[in-house]
Amino acid sequence: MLRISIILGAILAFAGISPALAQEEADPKGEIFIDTKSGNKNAVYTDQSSITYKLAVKSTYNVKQEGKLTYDLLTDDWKKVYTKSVSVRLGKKGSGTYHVRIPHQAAGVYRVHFSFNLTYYDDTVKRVVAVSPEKIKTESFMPADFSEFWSKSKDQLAKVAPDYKVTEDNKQSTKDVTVYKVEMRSWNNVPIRGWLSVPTEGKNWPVIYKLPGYNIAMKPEIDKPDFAVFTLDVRGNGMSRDIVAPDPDRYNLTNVENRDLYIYHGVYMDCLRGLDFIMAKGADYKMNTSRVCAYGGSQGATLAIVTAALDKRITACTFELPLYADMHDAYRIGTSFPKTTWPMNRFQEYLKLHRTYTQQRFLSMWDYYDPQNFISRIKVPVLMGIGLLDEFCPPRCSFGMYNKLTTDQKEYVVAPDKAHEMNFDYFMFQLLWFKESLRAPN
Amino acid sequence: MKKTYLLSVFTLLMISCVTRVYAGWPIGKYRHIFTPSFTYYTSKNQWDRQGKKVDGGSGTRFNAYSIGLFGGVGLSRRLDLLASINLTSQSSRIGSDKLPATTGLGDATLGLSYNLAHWKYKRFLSVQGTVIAPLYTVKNTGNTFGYGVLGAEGKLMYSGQLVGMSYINLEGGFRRYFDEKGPNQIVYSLTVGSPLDSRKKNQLSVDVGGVSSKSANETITPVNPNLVYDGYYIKGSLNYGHKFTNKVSLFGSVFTTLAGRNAAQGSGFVIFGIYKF
Repeated sequence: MLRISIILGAILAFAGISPALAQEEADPKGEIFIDTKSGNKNAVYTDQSSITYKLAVKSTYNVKQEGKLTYDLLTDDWKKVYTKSVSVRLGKKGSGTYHVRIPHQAAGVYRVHFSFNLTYYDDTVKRVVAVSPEKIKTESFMPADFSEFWSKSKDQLAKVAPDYKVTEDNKQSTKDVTVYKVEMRSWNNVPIRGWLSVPTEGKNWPVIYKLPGYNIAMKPEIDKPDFAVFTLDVRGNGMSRDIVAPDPDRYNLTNVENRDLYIYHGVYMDCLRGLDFIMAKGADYKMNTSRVCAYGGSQGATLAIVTAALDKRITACTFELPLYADMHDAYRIGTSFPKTTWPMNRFQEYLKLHRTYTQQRFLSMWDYYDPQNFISRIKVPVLMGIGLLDEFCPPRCSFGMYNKLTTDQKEYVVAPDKAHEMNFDYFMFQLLWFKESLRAPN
Repeated sequence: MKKTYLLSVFTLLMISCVTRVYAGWPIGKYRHIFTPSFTYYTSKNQWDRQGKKVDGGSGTRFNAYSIGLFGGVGLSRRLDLLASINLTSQSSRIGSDKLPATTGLGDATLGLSYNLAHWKYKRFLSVQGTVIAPLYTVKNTGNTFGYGVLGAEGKLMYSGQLVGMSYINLEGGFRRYFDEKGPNQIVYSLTVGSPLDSRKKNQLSVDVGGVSSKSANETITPVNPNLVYDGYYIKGSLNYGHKFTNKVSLFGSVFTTLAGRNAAQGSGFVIFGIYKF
């Protein structure tokens, strides 16, 4: 009897355990870590070399897994140009290394997708590579009266009395840096404001003229001991919303149907008026007006490019993640995503609601504001930074614009794993670049 | 013999002070650096050939004053051109005998420094080659401001951030004087320093360095009595610097020899300004 009880007990116990075991095998727990390393530094290849990646895969699953790794190469507007699969076998808590080689491609920006389809795991790792980016050529849509339009705009700005007001801000000043709030009148007599930061000791400071990103309110920059820094809030931004104060979400749609009234007409002129301030008041505030660098990121990148192109008093220009570069291509790439990316989604929504304002008319208007139509005028040293994973500013558009520079004093840095941001290495290099371009000591 | 030891060590100290001003950090393209310096060195005792301390005796004293000029030009982002020259006045008394004071130009140096690698622009590995040329003639004038022969030096330098805001400069190299007696020398130094405030207006550093000299022929000739062929010294210094602006800094340094063989025991100070433009 006892023996039967023991046997029955064992059977019951096993019956209890078996469902749990079966459940565990049907839905095992774990993670797969995939580390991708580009064969070339910063994922930039030439059009003569293969595109190579090394994938290190580690499984924490307590079960074996089998399946395949498929790697696809697509253009940046999602056309598949190459695909290949290899089999994958991972042991319990196993690891493996896979070497990917894709034949050389024509100059351009490409998406590389690594898809793992295993017994209990499916995931896709997405990367972007640039192939001979300096050979990327994009179409130019320069209006015939582009130069005349901007020349007249500058003449009109010159008729507006700037009425500069500079007030020391004791609360934000430190013993090492004096901070001033600056006010002036710009295009259409609209008041705009900015912050000037100048080291307390020394004089003749080279100037970093920093222009704002989209809806980013500017602050004084007091962490650059080798420079005076002037940060400008263009109209509708930060401190400059007295008269022009659009809904932040609709900033770049303000008067979008009218070339002359479009918000960026005034914004670009604000940037020139800010430079006028530096030149007019430089000596009073210890600035070296023969050494001024225009700088910005995202929208600020466009503003820096336009300022350097329209005003020869700028002596260097650096920008990262240039928004609006090559709007024709950027619009096409932005709207090709499963969900249209910003800022093209705003423009697309607007065009859907305002059918009479066609895409063609919209892009024709934007041709007067596209930074790629300004950039060839820049003759000073240029540094560009781009994130290869950037979906707001397609890298192909950034390179297409960069390749229209006619100065040979140009260079770029790529952050291969970044989207709409740059990495620490870039900003360290940019600081040295500022010092070199503005002749500040190391 | 004592005079020879006293003078030779000072010469070696001078060369190391002048060329170590800027360490391994690249000067940077389009930028320049100019460093005038004043050095005072005094010595009485020495270490003999066995490394034993020898008292110079009552009245023995060697003094030297030197004005040095060092300049560097950033030829490219990685390549710097460096040069130095000095004017020295020295006097000796051995016991009751006072030797005539001598004044004149010492060794000039001309070199190139190349940045081989960097780590996130915070640490740098560079190589430097320097030619050492005497601006005096020992044979004709009897001046003993140096070895009096052409020399060359090659060294590796590692410099950059240590921990937090502190920094390190580590150098090691080989120097040779082109005389049948050489000598061949190993030169080395380690500097560790830190700014004392967040804006790096003030900084403090210590360094230890030295020269180890060897020659196939240890005979000292009457023509070049100041040449030391076989011996070494280790010197330590404490340095303080103040940055007035990002272009102008002033440094003061006190130094002393810590150990040696066939070398003088001496100490002194250096004041130098750094002007970057």
